[in-house]
Parts: sequence; C-alpha cells; structure tokens
Amino acid sequence: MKECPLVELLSALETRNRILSRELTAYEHVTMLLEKIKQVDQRIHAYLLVQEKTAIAQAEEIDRRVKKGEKVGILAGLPIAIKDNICTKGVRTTCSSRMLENFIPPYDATIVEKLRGEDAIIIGKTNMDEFAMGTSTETSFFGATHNPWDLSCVAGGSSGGSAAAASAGEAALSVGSDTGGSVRCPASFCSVVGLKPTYGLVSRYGLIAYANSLDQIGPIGRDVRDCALLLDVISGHDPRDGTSLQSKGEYFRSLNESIEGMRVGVLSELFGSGTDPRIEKHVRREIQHLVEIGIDCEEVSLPILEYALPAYYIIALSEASSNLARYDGIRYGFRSEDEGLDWKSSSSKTRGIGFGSEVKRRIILGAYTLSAGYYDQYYLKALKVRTLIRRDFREAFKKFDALVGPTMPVLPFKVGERVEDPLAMYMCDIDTVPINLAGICAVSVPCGFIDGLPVGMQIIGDLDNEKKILRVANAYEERTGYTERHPQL
Amino acid sequence: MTEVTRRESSWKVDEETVKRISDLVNIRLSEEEASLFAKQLNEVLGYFRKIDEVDTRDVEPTFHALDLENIVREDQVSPSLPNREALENAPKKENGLFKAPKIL
Repeated sequence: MKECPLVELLSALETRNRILSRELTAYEHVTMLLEKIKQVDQRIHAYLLVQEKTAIAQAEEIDRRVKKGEKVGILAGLPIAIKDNICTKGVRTTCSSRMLENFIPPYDATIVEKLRGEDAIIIGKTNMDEFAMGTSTETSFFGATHNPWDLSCVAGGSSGGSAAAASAGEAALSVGSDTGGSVRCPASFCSVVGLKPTYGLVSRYGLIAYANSLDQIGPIGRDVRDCALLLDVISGHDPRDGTSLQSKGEYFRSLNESIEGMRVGVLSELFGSGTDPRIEKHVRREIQHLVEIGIDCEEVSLPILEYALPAYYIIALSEASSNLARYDGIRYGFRSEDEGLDWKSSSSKTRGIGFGSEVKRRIILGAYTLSAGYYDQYYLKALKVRTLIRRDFREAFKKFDALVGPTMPVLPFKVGERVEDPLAMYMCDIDTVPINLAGICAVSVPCGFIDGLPVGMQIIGDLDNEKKILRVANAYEERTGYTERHPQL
Repeated sequence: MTEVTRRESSWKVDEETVKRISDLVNIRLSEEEASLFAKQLNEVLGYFRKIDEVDTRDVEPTFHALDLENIVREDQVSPSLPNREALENAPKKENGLFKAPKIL
C-alpha cells in the first residue's frame, strides 16, 4: 500500500530523513521509483538509461550501513538522475547524439564523484537536446521528452529529461546543465525548481562542452530546499577545472535567514514584446506575493538586454563550432564506413552522419561568425555587447538584491510546433541567456499555471549570490505552495 | 507566440557559401540540407545583425564572465589514463594505437 502523498513525490529531504530514521528503507524507495519509471517513462521518455541493478545494490548497501549505525552521506539513498552530457565512469554517456551513442567514459565528472561521496544513487542518465543544443529536448537523436503535465507538450530543454524526471517522481533530484537557460527552461515548463549557479561555482570537469564560457551545471529539485541541498553537495572548488571559483556556501542552512527589507527589481525587459500577455499578467500578479512577505519591489529597466539574445547566440555558436571539432571518429564516437577514404573525406562523412540537423546548423553558423571578414562584425562585436550587459547588471545589483521576471516568454508548446523554425526556437531563450552572458546566477521557481500548463518565475542574483535568490525563492514557495502540486500520471 | 524580427538584408548567404563553410568544418551535407541551411542561415544571421545598432566604441570585449587570473600549480607528475582504457572507445585500433584514415 502506498501512502498519500505518494512516497516517490516526497521531498528528497523528507525521504532522506525517513531512510535515516528507518521509517523507510532505501531499498523500498528505490524499487518504488523504478516501478514508477516502468509505469510512466514510456510516455515521458525522461531517461536514456536506467541503472536498475546497481541502484538496488547501492540501496541495499545504504540500508545495511544505516542499520549498523554507520555514518552515511547527506544524500544517502536518494536516487539522482544525471543529464547525459555529464560523464559517468563505465556508464554510457551519449549527449543524446548518434556521435556518442556508444561512448563509455573512463572517468566520473567531479559532480558525480561528489554525489557518490555523499551516498547518492545514480539512478540513470536523462534525455536532452543533442549536445545541449535546443530549448525543447526535441533535437535528441533518441526522440523527444514529453511534459509530465501535458504529454502533448515539450518538457523544455535542453535538460528536459532531468526536469521531467524530477517532476514526475522518477527521481528524487536531478542534475542538468545550463548554457543559455537549459536548466531553468525545463524547470519552468515542468514546474520544478532549477538553478543556474554563478559561472565557476560548480566544476565543469566531466561536463561535455558546448560553449565553455557559458556552460554551468545546475541542480533541479521539486522544491527550493531540495535544490539548495543538492547545490551544497555539487558546488565547490575543483583544481581540475581552471575556471573554478574558490567560493562555497552552506546554501541549505542559509534558507531560513530573513528576507525582510530585501530590494527586488522587476526587470522590464523580461516582459518584452515577445512575451505571451497571459504570462506577463500572471507573473506580475505573482510578484505581489513578494511584496506581501515584506520585500521591496520596484520596476527596473536594462535596455541593453534587447541585444542579449543575438550576442548570446553568436558567442555560444562560435565556441560550439570550435568545441565540436574534436568529434572526428578517431579516438571515440561514431565513425562511418570509411574504407579507402582519406582523412578529410572520412571525417566529413562521419560528422555529416553522426551529427543531427541542429548541431550541424550551429557548427556552420559558428564557423561563419568566426570566419575571416565576419569575425569583427559578429564575434568581436558580440563580446563587446557582453561587456555592456555585465556592466549594466553590476550597476543594477548596487541597488537591488535580486531581479525578477518570468523564466520563459511562452508556455510549454506542442511537440513539433517549433522544430522547423530555428529562429522561433531561439527566441524562446530571450529571458534566460542574459544571465549566462553575465556569469551571474538565477533560479526558476514554480509560480502557478495557465490553462493547466506550468509557469516559472525567474529570480536573478549577482555573482556568488545564490543564498539571496534561494532565500527569496524559498519564501515565495512557502507563501504560495505551488511546489506541492504534482502532475497526474 | 514570440514575435520575431525578420530582417530583409541586401546580402545573402547562398548555397555555395554554406558548402564552403561546411567543408571548412568537415561536415558533408546533402543538397537538400545545403539548400535548407542557406535559407535558415539568412534568417538567423539577419537577426544576429541586430547588434549593429549598439554603440561599442571604446568598449573592450569580454571573452569570459569572470575576471580570472592565470592559475599556476606545481608541475607534478600524476598517473594518466592507461593505454587500454584510452583505446576502449576507439572505433578502430591496432597495436595499442588509434587507427586513423590516411592523410596523404
């Protein structure tokens, strides 16, 4: 018999507490989750790979240790889903690409080591847009992920599998990566909490690169506390990542600090002309809750953000065209039949077949914007716009503790609706990309529903200000209770 | 629906340009792909040129979000990936080496 609320939808924190107090065994919990995956994942397609046997063995080991009174890690027995662009030793890691369909990493990403170190169970690898290039998880070579709230809609992307798994109760927590919104977008579309940390706060060692100066791994949970708990574990300096920050905070513990007197700017540009008017109305109404809990809210405008989307795409694709040059079919990955072909023909054929349409389009666009004659006009110009965006955010944070607005300008759209029109898809990232350009942090927190489809509120903080935005998100969540709602599956 | 500014521009990326660039990045395209990409690249690059409106005189480029300094460490020898493991994912190998197609 199952309790109500369903055990697989309990918060990670509550689950862990029950495992430690032996009210629930890790074995019971993980088998329940595996059962849930069997029930729903054919419809959702959050997972590319589920590690059933190792997950059960790990859970039994945790139970033995708990029973003996041994010390266990702070994520003891919690099944965590990992986006499939994060290397897991001995476990296939595909980036949802034919190019890496059979790639088995010889090492763990730093964050995977950290999770294992805290006795988390790596339950599986999640679906994503191919090489994290997309906003809907539809560019996956293995097929789209569907939204648990409405299976005819996309889950968002590129970490669509991770967000959908957390939302549907197929994982206690999950991990995604965010280059221009890839954690926050699916978190918003699936009504879960997703954080893009400050650039450098979480090690990128073992994250397969898309655009190095923008990529950042981020935690996803069903509520803010779970998300903070996971950030506590995965953040921190790593000598194997040359851009890693020295800072590390106790994010979970600081959630209860006061939000009294905090100043929040309502960022006008996040309600730009492309925003669904229903979203604007809804989010503005939700922001009133912040006022009611003692936060000082005031409208603020950063006009330079109008240029963030083109600047972001130019920089991201330029970096991508260089990063993805490594896939030549020699050391790892797909290699086409190339008997009798020379290097150039073999590599071109391999890459022509191994990469999907969106990846090829982005590599070609990036090579174009970097090419002789266009470098100054596109790439260098975009880097200068990036300077102005950083500068204006820095100015805004002299006055405000955080900035708010919607995470996405549109509601979750139908599967297939935008795939034929790349520019229309790129436009969906308009509210999330400025954060990556500036290297700052932002969290998407569930803020209700429009016609049954989830809406997310984005709370943006300055560099290394995760504690502040998580506190605001937590206070908002306690006030509204949206994270207590779960999809009916 | 998000509004998209679709700009008419005097210049065009033609199929020949797409083929030239795809040759530079070693991606073989079919005729259909080259033709579709030319159309899409025009739209996307047209939109990218929106940044022309920004005055960036005397503005330095930002290559990186953080003002990081070079990080130096002691040059210590540590174990690297064993040969067998390094070759594990290679589609073709011979005598403990990666097997590449001929270059000349």
